[in-house]
Amino acid sequence: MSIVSPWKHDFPVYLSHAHPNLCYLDSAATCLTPKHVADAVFHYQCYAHANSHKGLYQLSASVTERVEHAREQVANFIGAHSGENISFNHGTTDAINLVAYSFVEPLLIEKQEGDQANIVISAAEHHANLLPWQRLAQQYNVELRIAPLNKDGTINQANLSALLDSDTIFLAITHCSNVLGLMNPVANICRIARNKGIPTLIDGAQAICKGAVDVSEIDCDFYVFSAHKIYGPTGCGVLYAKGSLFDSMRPYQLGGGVIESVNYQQSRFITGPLKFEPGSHNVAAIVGLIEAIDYMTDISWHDVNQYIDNLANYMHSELENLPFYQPLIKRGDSNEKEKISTLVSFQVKKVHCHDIASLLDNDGIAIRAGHHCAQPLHQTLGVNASIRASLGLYNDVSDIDKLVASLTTAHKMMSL
Amino acid sequence: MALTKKQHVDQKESRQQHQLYQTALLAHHKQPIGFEVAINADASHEGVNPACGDEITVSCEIKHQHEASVITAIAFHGDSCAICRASASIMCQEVQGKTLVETQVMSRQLTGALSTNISMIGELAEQFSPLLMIQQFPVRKQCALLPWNTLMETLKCLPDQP
Ligand SMILES: Cc1ncc(COP(=O)(O)O)c(C=O)c1O
Repeated sequence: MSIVSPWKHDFPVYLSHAHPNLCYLDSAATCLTPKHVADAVFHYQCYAHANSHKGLYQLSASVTERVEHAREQVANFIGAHSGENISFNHGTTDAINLVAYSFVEPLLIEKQEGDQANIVISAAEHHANLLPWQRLAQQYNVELRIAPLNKDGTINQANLSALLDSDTIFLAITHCSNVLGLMNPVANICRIARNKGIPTLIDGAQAICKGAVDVSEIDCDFYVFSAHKIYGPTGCGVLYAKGSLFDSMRPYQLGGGVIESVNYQQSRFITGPLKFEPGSHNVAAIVGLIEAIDYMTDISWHDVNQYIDNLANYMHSELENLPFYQPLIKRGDSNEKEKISTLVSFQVKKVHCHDIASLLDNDGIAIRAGHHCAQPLHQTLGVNASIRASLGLYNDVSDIDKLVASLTTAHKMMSL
Repeated sequence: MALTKKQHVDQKESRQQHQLYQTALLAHHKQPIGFEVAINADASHEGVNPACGDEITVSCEIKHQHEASVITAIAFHGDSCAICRASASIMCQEVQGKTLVETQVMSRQLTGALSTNISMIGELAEQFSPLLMIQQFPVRKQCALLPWNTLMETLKCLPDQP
């Protein structure tokens, strides 16, 4: 393993006039931005910006073309059939809400009085993939079922399967938990659901940074992710919908650009993904996402994954050597690729997570402390909060060594 | 066990290990005053910090003395960070024997000092010196204020509030 990340110099935040000593261990929250992406956004905004899909003039037309081409590029990146299956929005949260209110709510409205129904999620969901379903369940008086986890933190397939029945109208689960870090066997899970005729959504916010997502292989109905979790900008999310699902859905947010014709009494919506993109597009963020995908492809997803997996193994073993280290989930012995988590959530024995985060911050270490938008999961695991360290391609051995040293000092200082 | 005001100042001058976690604050964290002390509580209340899920319960015993309600005993318990624990400890040290009105004024002054960066002066600054660095760490302000907010709620639970 290289001692210094070969890609670190692509990230201007580490320059001497910015934060040369930054030890950034919060990539699961958001990734730092490579210069390529920042430059692309800057360049677009300075020299190419206009409103897409609206103007007839050249500048606007080329922006429209860029957005439509971006759909194809994203489709290609995640193994979707075509750009027609890709809709842009503000992020994972936005995309999940869109599916909740454009696809699932109409199913609930159709449901006859007295009909049973349930929605199934897992115990490891981010609030973004819990709250919209919780609200729908309350509003329409249907059951929200929670699939339990295995000891390693992945979703228990047998138990999940048992929860899916003829009344299940939707299954929404995470591809990879932002707290526990292991990949769920989503292709298997979607097959089980499909055999029972249940539509599926996969929250890919954490899995997308591995670059190997293939929605056709997973065969889910919806797949969602955010650009900022793969080194792109915030403000751009992706919603993939299988086949012609978009056509059967009702847009829940309305505005400019989504209608074929409108009068004061009624409107006819256009078809395709644009129907779910009311208002002006955040083109700069879409441009940034495409640049991020290109950047990662250029430097090689394979090399990056191998590098980060090696570093993650180093991180886990170094932390496991600390007598006060209490991971939320104990790591198994397996060395299989899917079993390497590039993040870890833990507690320091008898020291509060917020104190650890403040002390580490004093040493220039950016780390997450709290429930990481997964409060019920923490409750399930019997804790209030945890500390989370997550890796990006700019991290290297020195970051882990710093973390370990700083944790040791903090523990010594704070323990009672 | 209570730290005298003199000790606070000495410790502050002796060393500044960490801007936020100074010796004086750590002393309160490690040997908190009023922590899990059994009292004959007239009122108690559980406060929660929604940002981190920390919980703290503050209880107090009130007596009427010379036409005023006085806090004759105060205690707290719960799972919280060092800032919150130390703040609760200082609170227990400072409000013991104070009237409800004096306590409310103190709470308002501390809240004001932490929120507005107005520097405290005189006795108050000395009393709260271990906490004053929090002005520079706004994200931790709510940790220091949780015990005080909880105490104010506790006082509201009293049967005959002044
Ligand atoms: C698993 C998971 N789902 C959803 C989200 C929400 O993503 P965003 O904040 O980009 O909408 C996150 C982000 O932390 C996440 O990790």
